[in-house]
Amino acid sequence: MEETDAALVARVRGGDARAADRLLERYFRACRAVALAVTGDEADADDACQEGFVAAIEQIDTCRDPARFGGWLLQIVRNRARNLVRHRAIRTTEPLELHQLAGGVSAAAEVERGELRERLLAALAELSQAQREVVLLHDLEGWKHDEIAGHLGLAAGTVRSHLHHARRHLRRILSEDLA
Amino acid sequence: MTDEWRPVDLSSLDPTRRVDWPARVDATRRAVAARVASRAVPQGPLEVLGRWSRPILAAAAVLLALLGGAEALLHGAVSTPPAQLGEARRLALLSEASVAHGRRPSGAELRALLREPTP
Repeated sequence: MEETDAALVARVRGGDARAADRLLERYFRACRAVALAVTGDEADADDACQEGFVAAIEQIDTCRDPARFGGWLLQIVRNRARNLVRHRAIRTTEPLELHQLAGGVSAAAEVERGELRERLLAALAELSQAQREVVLLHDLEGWKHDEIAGHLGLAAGTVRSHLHHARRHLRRILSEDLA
Repeated sequence: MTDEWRPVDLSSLDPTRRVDWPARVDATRRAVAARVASRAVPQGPLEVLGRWSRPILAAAAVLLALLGGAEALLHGAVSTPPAQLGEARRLALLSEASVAHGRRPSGAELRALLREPTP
């Protein structure tokens, strides 16, 4: 049976690194999705989710309701991401060749994927932040409506509504883009 | 089922497709492990005292100074044992200095302070 967040938080407070590892496996990708919803930039999202997760573990004693660790963590990541956007420095893009060498992916496929990513990020930017978080957590991370509702502090109906509008909007923008 | 109820393919934004993602996860895991490990170190009561955060320490210093002063005013200096007043003053001074310099007093400093004879 899956160990609850509250039990894992208690173990982390007692100095158990394996429990922290379990929380990382459970939430790190969601942290990244929320950070991406805020920053709209993958590199910034990576930084924000890493910094946010580490900060959350550092201040885990201040998590008042360990059963709601996920929502608390995502709020820390969201704040980090907002700060990062505010103080965003000009970032030089890593040369594409590095990815190609490391991954062995063909240049054409990498360029195509990069273009698709750019189109998706541009389309996501036209949504509200809540819609972006919901669609990324649902369609990218595979979270269920009730999980999203619980962790984002939204009503289940609101989650469905955000998801519905986000998908419709994304499809419309992406199909216009391709037309 | 209409299009709106089908998931949008966002897989190109999936971080696990990127070659640098595992390194990012590992770096986070290491950073987290280091912080959790530091929590596991057993602490004695003096070390715990030494880790008091600055606001609590500052508040304690102010409270001690106020209590000492109030007691002296109400009952006169004779009724307050000089040793206790001296300790209180020294503790207040140490707290004030710690807050001013932005550092926590060590267990050794607290121990020394409590043992120091009152002039």
